[in-house]
Amino acid sequence: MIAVFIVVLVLSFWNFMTIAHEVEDMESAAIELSLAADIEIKFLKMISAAREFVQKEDTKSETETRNYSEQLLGAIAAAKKGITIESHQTLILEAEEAFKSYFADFEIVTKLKHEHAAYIT
Amino acid sequence: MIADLHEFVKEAEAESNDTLLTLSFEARQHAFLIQIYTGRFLLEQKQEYGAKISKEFELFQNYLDRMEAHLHTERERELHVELSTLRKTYHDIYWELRHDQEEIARLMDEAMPRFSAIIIKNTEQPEHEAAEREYEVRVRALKAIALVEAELLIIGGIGTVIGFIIAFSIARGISQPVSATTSVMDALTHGNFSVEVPAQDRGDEISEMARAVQIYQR
Repeated sequence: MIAVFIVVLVLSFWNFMTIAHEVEDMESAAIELSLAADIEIKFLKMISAAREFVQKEDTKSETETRNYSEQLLGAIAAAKKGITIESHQTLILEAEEAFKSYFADFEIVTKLKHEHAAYIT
Repeated sequence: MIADLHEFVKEAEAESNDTLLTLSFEARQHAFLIQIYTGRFLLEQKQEYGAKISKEFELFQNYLDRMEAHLHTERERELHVELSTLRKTYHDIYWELRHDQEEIARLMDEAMPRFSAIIIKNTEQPEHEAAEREYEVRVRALKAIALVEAELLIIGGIGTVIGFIIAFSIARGISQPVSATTSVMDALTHGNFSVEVPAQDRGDEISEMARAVQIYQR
């Protein structure tokens, strides 16, 4: 009986260690999920502000777009640092490049919109 | 353009030039429409105004051309030259704005959504994979927790049984020699001195008690 007791005790300890490892794994997955979701949320906020600027041509939405773009760059930097899976790192780098191109186009739109405003007024 | 056309109207009225007056009125009306449609085109960004503006420019030019034959004074000729220049400048700026508007529409509707799609796709993929991994790990962890719970129950059960056995053995180890010594003492009080006193070699308090009882036997 004591032998059974010891075997179950060892098994139980081993299972506790497994749970600890699973929890660590779960934590890393949760961190990765939150980092990727943060980029997406900030980007969606930024494009919403950018579209508002194109519609209204107001300073408020232009400033908001720029603020969100800075926050987004921060989120991308955090994801580059926090995401450990290599294939996901590649996706984040591609997303960063796409964001740079998006923002370069937004700068062109902003310049053209300011020119229009100057013509109208 | 409209200020010049106001002056044209006044000039034509002053010299009773009815044809020029009518043409100036018409040209002014189209100049107004050009302004209104251009403003709407820029503010509302509706492409449908493009065709209207082009048509109004055409009609305005048509009236300008017709006015040329009815210019009598030097001032009217000056104003006509000025109007033609203004019309050309306005028209050039309008086309520049229209081109820019098309460029903005192209960027907003084609180029930028393409980049948006890349960003959303590239962030959603790790999100989905991380969520799936989190779910799988959670299921595994829950299974391991259930196993540990069962193991703890077994450990608890076995521990209780072992504890019970140990407690029972200890109690029995104490109560049995005490009971035997009590029986010996009972026999001694009844004059039976041949009984053997048990538990004398245990090396504890019970053996001391047994040795004390043995004194009575002597």
